[in-house]
Amino acid sequence: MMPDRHEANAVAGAALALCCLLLAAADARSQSAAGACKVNTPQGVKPDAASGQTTAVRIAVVGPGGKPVERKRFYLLERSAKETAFAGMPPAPRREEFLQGASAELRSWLARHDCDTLYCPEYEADYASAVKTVPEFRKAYEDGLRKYKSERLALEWLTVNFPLKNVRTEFYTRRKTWLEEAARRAGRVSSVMTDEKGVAFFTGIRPGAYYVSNLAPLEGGLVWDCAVTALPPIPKQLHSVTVEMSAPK
Amino acid sequence: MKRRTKTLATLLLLTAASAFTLQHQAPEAAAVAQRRTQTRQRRRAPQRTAAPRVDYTKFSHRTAEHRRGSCSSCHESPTANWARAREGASAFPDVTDYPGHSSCLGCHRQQFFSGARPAICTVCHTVVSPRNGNRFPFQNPDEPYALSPKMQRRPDPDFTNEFPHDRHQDVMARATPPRGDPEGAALFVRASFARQQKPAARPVDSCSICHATYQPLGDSKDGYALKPPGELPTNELRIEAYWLKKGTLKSTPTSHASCFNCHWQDGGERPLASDCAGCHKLKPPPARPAPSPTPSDTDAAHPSVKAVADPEVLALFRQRRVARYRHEVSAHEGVGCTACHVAITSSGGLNANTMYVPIQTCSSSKCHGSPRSPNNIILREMEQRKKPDGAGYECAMCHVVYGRLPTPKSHSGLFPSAAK
Repeated sequence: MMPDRHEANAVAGAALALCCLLLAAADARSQSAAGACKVNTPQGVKPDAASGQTTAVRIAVVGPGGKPVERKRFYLLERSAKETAFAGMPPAPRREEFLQGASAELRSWLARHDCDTLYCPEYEADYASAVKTVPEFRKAYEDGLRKYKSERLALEWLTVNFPLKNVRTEFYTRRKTWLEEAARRAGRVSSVMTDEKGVAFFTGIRPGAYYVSNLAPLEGGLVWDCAVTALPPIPKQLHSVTVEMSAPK
Repeated sequence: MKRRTKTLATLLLLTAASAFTLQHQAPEAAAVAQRRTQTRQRRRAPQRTAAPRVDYTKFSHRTAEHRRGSCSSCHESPTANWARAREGASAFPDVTDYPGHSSCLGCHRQQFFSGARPAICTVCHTVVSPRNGNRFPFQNPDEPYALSPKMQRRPDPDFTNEFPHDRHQDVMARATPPRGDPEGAALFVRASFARQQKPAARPVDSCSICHATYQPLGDSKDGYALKPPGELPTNELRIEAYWLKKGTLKSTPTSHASCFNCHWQDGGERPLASDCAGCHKLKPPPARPAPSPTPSDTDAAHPSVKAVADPEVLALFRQRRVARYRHEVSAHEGVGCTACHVAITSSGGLNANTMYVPIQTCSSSKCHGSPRSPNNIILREMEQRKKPDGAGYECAMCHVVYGRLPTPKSHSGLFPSAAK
């Protein structure tokens, strides 16, 4: 009897551990940290949607460590993303889900390079070394050399012959589709991309109430959903309101 | 005898009368006949002129028959001459030659063999002769084509280029959030007794990946794009008379080189290089004369503008609303492109509106925003105009053509407190 009970306990324990693991994984998948929002509204200016004048909202985004969130797309929405876009939608695609078939060297190389696709121009400087160390790049280079009979072209056109299409653009394509659907649900007004200082402007918008969100969480799970009231234009300034977005403390 | 004489006289009179009558009636009859002919001709004439006269010296992609097939039914990609079309290291597989005769002969056999010098040959050939095969440069690469007489003859291309800026920016998006320096991580600092080269400035945004400074300042001391004829006069605020300076303009990629490295047809991203219509969109035919464009701030006839040899750069320069703005000034470079071209990242296509820089991007800056700042040239020039003798003052720091116009409300409302 004892061995049986032990066996049953062991099975139950393993099942419990598996459940815990699955729950933790599911939780990690759905978990996203809410970004902090601070709206700087000038004193004494009241919204006047009837004026017909358009205005602008400036956003300044910093991530963990106080560094600017560069080259990320943010959306101006009519409704809260949390209440509309995320309800009933599958989680946003994550890059690690699109690395099937990738070698360990490629995974390591991508982790060191900070881009949504293989097309960040900063990558090009590293192609020459990548073809020596990463099997996928080496294959792409050899294919290119065979086709174009030119080492220069084989290197410059490396992505054309890159063997794993899922790694190359599938993540970008799927996430773009997801973002468009999420933005549609939340009433997309406009979208902008931050510069290297983490700054961008929503211009040509009517004064009124909006939300600003990145919709798809950053890799660490950080997502903003900031309410903002766009005020009428201030003559000297391009924008009437600034939304400062940061990581939670 | 008398009777015979009378009869003869009567006959003569009758003959003379009938001859006279005929003589006078003939022109009328001829005229009637001519009128009939003319009427017939006039009736036929509209049929003759109704048929459109085709000018076979000009090829148009807009012709219904030419639009019927796909681009690849005429154009090969790549063409056999791609390696010779560009020099050495700049060569890449590309469409750099005209389609062959076979793509025309199916419909135009008659025009190919009409007369000693068929008009249709002049679409491609410089001289119509069986002994001379010389042709005008093909439209790609565009540098030799821009200088050719064919370009002078037909400067307006059939196509516009569609480049979705926002999509390309998204492709270059950062993947991970910025991280602070990991705690306790070792920091390696390069140490050397030799003088270190100044590290290249990090671009503020991704625009500089494709858009370079046209004619950068380099080692030039005065910075003029062309040598001015002499010392340039200055105005009341010691602003030098206009003469185009280096570092003013930006270039735009115009060659397939910046497209095909990702969109090449044997494995690249869509639209593929072989799908010309993926990017090149046929312009609608001009229904009526184009309205005269809004006058820009650029004086295209200014002698210093001759320094701009690139037709694409010149075309963008001609649209400018602030002709004297220089991109290559350290304070401007540090700001970043999208801090002024604020609408670009939100838009798929580029046009004069999305390229537009609102003046508030200057007037809210630290340099040109404070009423007390000596660099607030917007305010100083407006104040100069308010002086008793300043009515004729032309704003010259930013503008060339617009500087002669009255101060617009967009400017005069910027510094209300200073104006009081």
